[in-house]
Amino acid sequence: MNRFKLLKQTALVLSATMLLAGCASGSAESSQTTATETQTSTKSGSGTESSTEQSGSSTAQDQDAILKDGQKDTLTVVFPGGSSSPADLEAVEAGLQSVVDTVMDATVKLNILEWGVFSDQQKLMLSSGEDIALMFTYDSSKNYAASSQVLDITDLVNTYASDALTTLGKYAEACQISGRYYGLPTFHEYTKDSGLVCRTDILEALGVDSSSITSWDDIEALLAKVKAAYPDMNILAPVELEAGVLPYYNEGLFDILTDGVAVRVDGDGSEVVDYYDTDEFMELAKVAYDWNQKGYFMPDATTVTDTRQDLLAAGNTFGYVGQIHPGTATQELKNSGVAVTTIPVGHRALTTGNVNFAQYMVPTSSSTPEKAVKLLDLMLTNADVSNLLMYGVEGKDYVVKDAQTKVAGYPDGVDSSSVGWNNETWLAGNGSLAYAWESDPVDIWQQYQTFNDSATVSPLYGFTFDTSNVKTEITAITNVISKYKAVICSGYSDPESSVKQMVDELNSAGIANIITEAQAQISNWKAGN
Amino acid sequence: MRSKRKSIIKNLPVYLMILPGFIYLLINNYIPMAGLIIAFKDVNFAKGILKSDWVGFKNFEYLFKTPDAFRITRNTLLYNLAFIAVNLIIGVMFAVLLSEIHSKKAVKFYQTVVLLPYMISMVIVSYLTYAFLSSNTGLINGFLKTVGLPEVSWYTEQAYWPFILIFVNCWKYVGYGTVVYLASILGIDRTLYEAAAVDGITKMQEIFKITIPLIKPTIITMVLLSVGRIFYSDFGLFYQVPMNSGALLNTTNTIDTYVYRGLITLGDIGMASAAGFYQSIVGFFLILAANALTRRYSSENALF
Amino acid sequence: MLKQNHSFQIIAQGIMIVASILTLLPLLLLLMSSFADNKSILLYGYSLIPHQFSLEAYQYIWREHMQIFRAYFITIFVTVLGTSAGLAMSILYAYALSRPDFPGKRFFSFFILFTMLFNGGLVPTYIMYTRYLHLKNTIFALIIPSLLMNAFNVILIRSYFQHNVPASLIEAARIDGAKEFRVLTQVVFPVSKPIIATIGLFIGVGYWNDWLNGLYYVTDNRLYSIQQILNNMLKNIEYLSKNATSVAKSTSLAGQLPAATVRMAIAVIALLPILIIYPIVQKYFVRGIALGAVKG
Repeated sequence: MNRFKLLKQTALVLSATMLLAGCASGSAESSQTTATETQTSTKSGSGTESSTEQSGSSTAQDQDAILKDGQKDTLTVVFPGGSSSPADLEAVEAGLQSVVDTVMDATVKLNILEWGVFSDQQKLMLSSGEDIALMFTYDSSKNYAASSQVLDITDLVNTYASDALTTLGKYAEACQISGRYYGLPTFHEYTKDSGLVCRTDILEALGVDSSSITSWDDIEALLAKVKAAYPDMNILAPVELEAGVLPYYNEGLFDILTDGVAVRVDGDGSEVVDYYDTDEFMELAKVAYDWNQKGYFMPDATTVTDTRQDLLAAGNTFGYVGQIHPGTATQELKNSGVAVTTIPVGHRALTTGNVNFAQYMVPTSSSTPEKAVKLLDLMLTNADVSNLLMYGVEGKDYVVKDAQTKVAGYPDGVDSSSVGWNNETWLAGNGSLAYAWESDPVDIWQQYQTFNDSATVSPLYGFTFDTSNVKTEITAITNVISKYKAVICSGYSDPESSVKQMVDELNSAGIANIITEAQAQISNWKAGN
Repeated sequence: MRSKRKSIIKNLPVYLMILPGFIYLLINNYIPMAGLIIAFKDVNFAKGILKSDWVGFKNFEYLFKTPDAFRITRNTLLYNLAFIAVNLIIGVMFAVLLSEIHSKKAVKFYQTVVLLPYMISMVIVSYLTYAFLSSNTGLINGFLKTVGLPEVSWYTEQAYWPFILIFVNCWKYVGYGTVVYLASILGIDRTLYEAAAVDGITKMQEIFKITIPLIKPTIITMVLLSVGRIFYSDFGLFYQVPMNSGALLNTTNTIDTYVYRGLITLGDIGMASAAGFYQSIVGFFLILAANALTRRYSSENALF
Repeated sequence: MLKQNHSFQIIAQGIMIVASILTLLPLLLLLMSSFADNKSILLYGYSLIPHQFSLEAYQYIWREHMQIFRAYFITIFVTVLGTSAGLAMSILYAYALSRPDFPGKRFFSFFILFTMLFNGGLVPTYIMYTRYLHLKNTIFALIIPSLLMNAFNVILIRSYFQHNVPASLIEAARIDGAKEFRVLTQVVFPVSKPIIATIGLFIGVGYWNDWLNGLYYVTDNRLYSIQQILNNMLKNIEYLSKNATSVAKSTSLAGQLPAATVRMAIAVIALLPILIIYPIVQKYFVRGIALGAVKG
């Protein structure tokens, strides 16, 4: 057969494809356009509103005109959970509906996606133009903003969610990109503390008072003691799979812009550094190596497939070095059935990333962004909504145990496995408006507030690094980091040589370009502030 | 013109036969293929995919402008070549042996056994591999300890991994090839063997002079089809089975895993699409070349 | 001659026995681990005979049995329907390609082969099936996308039709006045049982093992297939354990997730039906005796 004929065949097949594809995507295009149109019309609409806002009284009427337009738009809220159809899903929706009815004309639907499918589904939903009002995002929020998969809701937020803005205070800023809002954060721990989480029974057996431990050196002394008393025990388990044992050692010292590129929290934010080329990381590497040599780390720490909860429950693990926040001990007790003591020794920093990793955004394809933002406002300010989202239906999924101190618990005969509704604080809007749960301290929300407010504010708080100009370098350094980070954080290799190798490879992967880019963006951001 | 129409009318039933498949391919494959343009766009969903800005080959840059480019390409190619060779040789061998063994019950047993791993998902395979190789709880280190040999930290020693991966891949997929080759052998006309038996040839001669030449078309088809996928790698095999262990990255990083790791933080649809396009276009030209070569030497075995 | 054949049999059996042991060993470990106590694995390591037997993993599955039974039913339904439809379409397409005098043969060969090399990617396919065909959260979403027909299978069937079905047989039938469809069903089909059984098996296994369609197109857990349940559990574990600290307030979720032994037990349960169905398929792995007879 001659070559030309073959090429002709190819051309034929291809042109047929293009033709067909043209038709199909043509219609896809048209619906995309409608989405855009809605967006622009929204923008102009809300623009006028925000201008009228100053003039006062007319705002409420304008709002009402849009919110109570008689159209029963469906507002779909998408967030992750343990089950896609908990028994009381419809009852919770009905509860939310009765709150929403007082404010606007809309039908609320909750679309819960199981954890395992959440990130795939989220990407597909945001790329295919499904009509979703609010999307929970936890890691890719800035990418969604960069590719316009979510709306700039600055004007809408000012108009429809001003109460929420007041409630959130400075924490709302973290969801801004270049001064524009793309979402609002849920209530959760806005900072992290790091330290040792370990078995209380062993501490007691060794007669150790946990409050006397205030530094990493103290922790090492404790580990040595445990090792001497229980030579066969795996002292420390990895905190997360594939991350090594000590990734949280330097928590709070740096504001990480993208893995590997950071600024010091205690500085003025003008100097961007390669985190893996700092003295702090070298110290981590040395400590990890030393501790591993001394036998404190469980073998295969980078590849173990069992979770730390299973390892703790199995009984031959003392603890792990990880993140600590109010309620960690109760949570670990629930997870592993083992009583643990938390010994925080790290630093708390308030960074953009710590706050905006759990937020609700409005997808570009949303048909009614105004109502979506109003719903978000309710989720962040209305106590009834909070209780519904957190604990389900009163009397069915929870009962108020103490109205005075605002404590709730399971009704008689209901427990964690039979309850018809489960949710997490950081997914549920504003959990601090809800009751405290009976197994937690009564003042748990106050503890959270104190914890959050105690953090050192990063000099770059409110800044979001836009990586679109350095994507090539980011893919390259991500691969270098996955080659070395867990290995170094588990103390497998000689710190001097492996850190040097890692830094060399990061340099040839072009980390300097990312630093330069970040530096430039920070200068601009500072100039704008 | 008339003869052409006549030919179409005469072949109408054949066209009708092809129709369901044709429509399916249009819907499932060809229309979505328009998405290939994403590889050349800076996708902005507010503008829509078609109206997003063209960026030329910018989305492809990260595949080449990296010090790892050579390594990941080499790994992908070499592993695939090894897989094709090993699975071919062992698959054909098993198929021939199964076709020759007299005991029907034994044949059924072996046939079932070799195909079983094909039914297990790669994630489970990775847990099984871990059960063997874990330093702490693994079967192999347990065995080494019992016989007094030094234990091996499998997940940090990259030298072993080319063999482990080839073994795991063979373990999982050889049953597939075996069944295909066996079906082909079973289709061989028995009279050929009877004639050969009269001539008094040995078993080995029978295998190499009759069986293998007669299943050559199937072998060529299988190899040609694998050549088209030579720039792809089984993500589960290269990411999950080595447990994403950083220490092994030099020997386990392939184009697919590199792209996956790189895009975790970026989630860039254009760049993901560019990687797929690159893998496809290389496979496309390789398969064209391989097909042309086949056409020259044994035209009846060419794919198209 | 006889003696030689005898030693060949011994060697052949020897090789296959070794191969079977190598293949079965990991599977045995899979089975045994599913009956082991989770803690004992973490303490004493994996072993072919569990240090401590436990039915905990299967009890966990039994507690979830309503969901598992429904998923079983969905998987079987999808597999049967998908395999029949897919096999029929593949055979028809392959038969057309195998006709030497079929005009457009090369075009249609290329048309299907091209799909093996290029695809538009997930997002366009997703838009096609959800926005235009509205398959999301329907049973058809588990059947139609990507699994129904593929180039690999069609080309293998075509290759078999071309090389193992004698042209003379087809010619003879035609001379007798048989129409194309009759030629296919009455002449080609009976002598092609091995390849049809093989490809049917592959398509069936493809459906049985599929979880990607579920991941993309099904979010309603009433439509979960057995593999999707398995996969969701695995992904949930993976997700939560990797993000354990960032998902800081994940209350009791991680604790409820099934441990190592449960993953193994679910894999065993997913594998069982294949062990039951496979012998039935094997019946068709018969030599083409009929071929010789017709020809002779």
